[in-house]
Amino acid sequence: MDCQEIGKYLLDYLDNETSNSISQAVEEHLNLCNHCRSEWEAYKKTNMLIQLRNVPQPEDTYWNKAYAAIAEKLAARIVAMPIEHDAGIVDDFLHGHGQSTNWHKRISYLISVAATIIFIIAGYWMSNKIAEKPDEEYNTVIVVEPEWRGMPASQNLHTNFQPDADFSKFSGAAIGIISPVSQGLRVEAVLK
Amino acid sequence: MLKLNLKQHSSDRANLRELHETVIERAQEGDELAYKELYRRYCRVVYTLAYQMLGNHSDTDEVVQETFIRVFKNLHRLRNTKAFTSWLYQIAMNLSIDHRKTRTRRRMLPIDERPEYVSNYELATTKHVRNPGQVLENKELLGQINNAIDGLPEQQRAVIIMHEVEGMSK
Ligand SMILES: [Zn+2]
Repeated sequence: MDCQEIGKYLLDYLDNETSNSISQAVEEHLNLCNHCRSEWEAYKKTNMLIQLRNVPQPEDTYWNKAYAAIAEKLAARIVAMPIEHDAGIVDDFLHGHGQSTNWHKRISYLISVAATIIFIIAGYWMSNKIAEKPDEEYNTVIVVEPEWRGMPASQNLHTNFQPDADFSKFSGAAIGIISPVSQGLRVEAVLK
Repeated sequence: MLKLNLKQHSSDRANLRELHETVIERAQEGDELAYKELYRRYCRVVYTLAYQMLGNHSDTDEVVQETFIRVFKNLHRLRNTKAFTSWLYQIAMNLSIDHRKTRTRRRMLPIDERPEYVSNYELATTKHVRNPGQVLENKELLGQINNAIDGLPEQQRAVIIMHEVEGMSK
């Protein structure tokens, strides 16, 4: 067996869960290979320390309190960000491993950068138009990402729309980063 | 007789597995009772996993809560319900590793580079482990064991803990 194969058996060997022939092969390899032996020593020490540290169990009331906190936070987050993808933490597993996840992250990053640039340009364009025709009423429709559902009404910020100051917030809102969509100029978010 | 027992046993296991998958499916639909049931079944294992990575209650508590929030929120995206426990533990482990990183950053100096951890590690692994029962009674030494665990390479710790936790739920 080569190092890679031995590596697969090391933890089972540690738990005495390997067959006699495998155990013998592992032992022979460990006697000859410095690399695997140092890995084995490290596993052994780690395992021993972890076994020595007994995990103190929290008091019985803890579990219900923690569940109540989980339910509360979950409800709050589902309202605020209904379809938030926890990239990295949750997605590594769902999307397989390594490269595809990196690609996925990279593509979403590029999309959000592109969206930001487009909204900034659109913002300048709009603020110029506003400056040109100050008396006209605007009825601009912003199409947001299909997954964005906005914030609950109570959390919308009703601010007076000031093109220069508010546009960064505004473009952020349109790509789902932050919430305020100005109501002063009747800018509406249209949900697909 | 023996055969019959084995058969009985294996059909019980199959029923349990089916029941388990039903709970997950119902949780995927957002059923709060099913959430609670999954929490009841796995909160202690997730707690143990996070505690082994983090070494204290308050950090562990944060990770336990965050793990279940993420799991419940993303559960509808898990296609293979048989992979539920591995997925759950992986999330708990990723969050523990992240939490440890932010904690380390807060302390400014990477834990692995602090000299006292190296010497405590040696201390705990060489001198005092011959009598584990005695070790556990010694609070000071327990603190040193905790420091020693904190100083271990993260990858090895994660591998061992995942292996242990998978064994717990077999
Ligand atoms: Zn080798």
